[in-house]
Amino acid sequence: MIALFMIGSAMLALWPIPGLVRKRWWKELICFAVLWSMGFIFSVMLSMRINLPPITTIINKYITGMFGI
Amino acid sequence: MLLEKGKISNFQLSVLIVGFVFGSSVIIPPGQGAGHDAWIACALGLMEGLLIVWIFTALAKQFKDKTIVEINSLVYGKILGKCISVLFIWYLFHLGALVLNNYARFFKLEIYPATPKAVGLLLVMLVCASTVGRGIEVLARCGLILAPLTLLVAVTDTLLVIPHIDLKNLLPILDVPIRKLLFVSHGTASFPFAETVAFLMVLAFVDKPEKGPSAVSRGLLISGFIFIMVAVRNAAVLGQMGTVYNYPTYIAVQVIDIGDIFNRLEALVAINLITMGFIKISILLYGTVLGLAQVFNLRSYRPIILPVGILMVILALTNVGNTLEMLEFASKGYSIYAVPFQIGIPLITLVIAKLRKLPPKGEVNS
Amino acid sequence: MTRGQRLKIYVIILLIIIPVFLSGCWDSIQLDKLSIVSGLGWDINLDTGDVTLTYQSIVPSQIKSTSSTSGSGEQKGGGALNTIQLDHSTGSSPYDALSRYTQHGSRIPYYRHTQVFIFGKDGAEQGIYPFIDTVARNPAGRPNILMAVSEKKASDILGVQNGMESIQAIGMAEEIKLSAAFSKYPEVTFLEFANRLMSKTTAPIAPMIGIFLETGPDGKKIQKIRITGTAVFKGDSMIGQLNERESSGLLWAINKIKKGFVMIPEASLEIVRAKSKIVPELQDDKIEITIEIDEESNLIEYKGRKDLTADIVQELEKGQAKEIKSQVMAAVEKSFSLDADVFGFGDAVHRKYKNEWKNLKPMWDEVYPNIKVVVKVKTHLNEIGDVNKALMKK
Repeated sequence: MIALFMIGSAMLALWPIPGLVRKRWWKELICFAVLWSMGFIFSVMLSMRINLPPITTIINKYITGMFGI
Repeated sequence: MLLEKGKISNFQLSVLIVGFVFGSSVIIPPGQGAGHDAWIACALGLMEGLLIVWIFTALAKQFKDKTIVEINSLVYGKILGKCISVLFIWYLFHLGALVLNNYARFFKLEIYPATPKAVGLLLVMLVCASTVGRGIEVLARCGLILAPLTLLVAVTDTLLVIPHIDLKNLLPILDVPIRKLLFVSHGTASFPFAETVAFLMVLAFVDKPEKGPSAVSRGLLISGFIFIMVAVRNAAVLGQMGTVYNYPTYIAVQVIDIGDIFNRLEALVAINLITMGFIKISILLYGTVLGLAQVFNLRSYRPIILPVGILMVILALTNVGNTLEMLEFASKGYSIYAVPFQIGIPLITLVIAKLRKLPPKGEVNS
Repeated sequence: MTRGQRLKIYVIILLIIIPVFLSGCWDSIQLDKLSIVSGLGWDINLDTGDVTLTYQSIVPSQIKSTSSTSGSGEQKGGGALNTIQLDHSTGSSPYDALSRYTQHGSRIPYYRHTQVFIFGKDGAEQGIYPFIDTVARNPAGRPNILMAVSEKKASDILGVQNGMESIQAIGMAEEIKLSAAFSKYPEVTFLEFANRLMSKTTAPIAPMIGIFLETGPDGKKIQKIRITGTAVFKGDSMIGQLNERESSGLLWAINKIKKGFVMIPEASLEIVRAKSKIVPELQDDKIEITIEIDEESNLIEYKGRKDLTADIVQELEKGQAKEIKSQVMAAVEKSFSLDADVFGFGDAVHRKYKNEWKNLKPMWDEVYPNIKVVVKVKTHLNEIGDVNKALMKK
């Protein structure tokens, strides 16, 4: 499963990177790299079944706590 | 605007609004929680939604050709403006993940019980990403075909279900305590009507900016009336079970059985969800990537579409523990969580802009 | 490679990949791995509390062979029996029994074509709520499925072959719908049943089906099913039933009369159209309900052997009104004696008197039998048929 993710993410990265490097768009490359690595890390965590914090539930707890509904 | 060269007409804007508002409300009709008075909640929510629309379209009209990110930078100064823009972009991103979540849960429950959620979401995201990559014009043209189809299906379903309608199910009117009704109608205003605040990223590309506000209001009114009709129909057909079902529209359409030919039409409802969900997610994805590109001063938003899309899918998958938490958030927390983004940011920005007399007259629209 | 050529290659690749997804890899359903359940029966074993579910599944290959002999018009013999297959599974709860289908079948049950749910009388008296919950929660439970109660055991009903239809459950569903169209017994879908269950004062109803022995054309005794009454539930348990007359009265009151007949001593009339309204009146904690019925009919059988005059027509109309009124009152009396609000009087009061309803609702069981019911019937004889004089005078 993780291998599948790695191959998929690598393919995803392979698509725009040559174009960006050729055009020397460094800022876009950095943005892409940052976002891509975030996605990579999270998807690997998901496939290893590590529980990422459920964001919406946390927000809900804060709001109902604050307003006491 | 080097990032986006396309322009959309006012009619296309109205159609996009209709598609967007329909979004995930095809299967989760607004007004849940008010029982058979859902149509009253819809009507009240529509009025409140129109008010909110008036606020942010006034902001867009004030700053023609500028998206909310650029407006923020102008009004608050570079650094504070970018911070507020990032908050707004987070709202769009989170909203996209919520829509994807609704999408995935519906499909997993009713249509593809065995397929993993990630697969469906990734496929949808691929389509949305490829559409967004080609610019807002393409999206508007897609919407032009898909939204009227959905309207047609919604109206046809209502007509076909007339033999099963028992208007007595709508009585007594105002059965729900007023406090709950007001809360639910505010909830209806924030989902789905006031979510059109996402269009603050799109309104810059309308070719006749003065007519922008009326186009948005028109779209909102059309979809609002359809929702009221759907709320009346669902309550009339399903009676009290309408409050119990998770997806009332889907079940209400299942009762259609005319001459053994017109039955099992609920597949059309699922198709509606696919098309309208696609429009909504595309617009939210477009807003997010365009906003990010403007915040970081990128030359093009095309490279970051796919990573942002994948992140949205991941957020959608890990958003909530189970459906019940999602329902609780939708009924309690969301209407309050959304207020700062839907009303707060546009209103405060508008007030400050008017106070600072921005934009200066005679500024060349770049 | 030019851009045009590259695009063509991408399109071809897409066209090859997409149909793979269309059928759904994980969710692909093959017809020959399914057993399509056309009817589901529910029985409770009184001693052990176990639930027995009876599935009537369709054997598709057999249907073709019987339809080729349908032209002969005789009672179908052994051929039709093979179109359906009965299976039983037992468990401690409805879904427990449902999950044991692997014990008796080679195929996965598919419930999206189920026509009818039958409850055994013992099972119905115990309470059918777990079953209702399963059907509502499960996406395969459609709101249109008909509910029925069997006089003895549900498994017996589902085993009786039907003469005309090759699939028995479809025949049973059509029979229920036909009796509702001819205003004899109600036709209750799952949605209507659940709505009545959710309203805390209205009593759910369902038609009752029994087995009769009849002599077939070849002289042998065969079993046939027939609708014999209306089961009345309180909450989710059955507490009583209405006979044929009372069932008709119930249908008159709740505006479910479509076609049908009214029989009076001198004549028989065919109902063309009927409408009824339940009008509640609340005065000082005393509830009075007026059932207003409006009916139009045609004369189809006149035993009086007189020439028809306007006076006779008026008499017939009055006779009709009396008959309808007595049917409705019979239903009302029975429902009072069962203390079950089958008509929805409670909901009618709730709709009109929203504020007083809060006080009345908890006491509805005591209030109900003391309601004063007034029936007002207006009848109108439209057509008298092809002849207007008696063929044979007295």
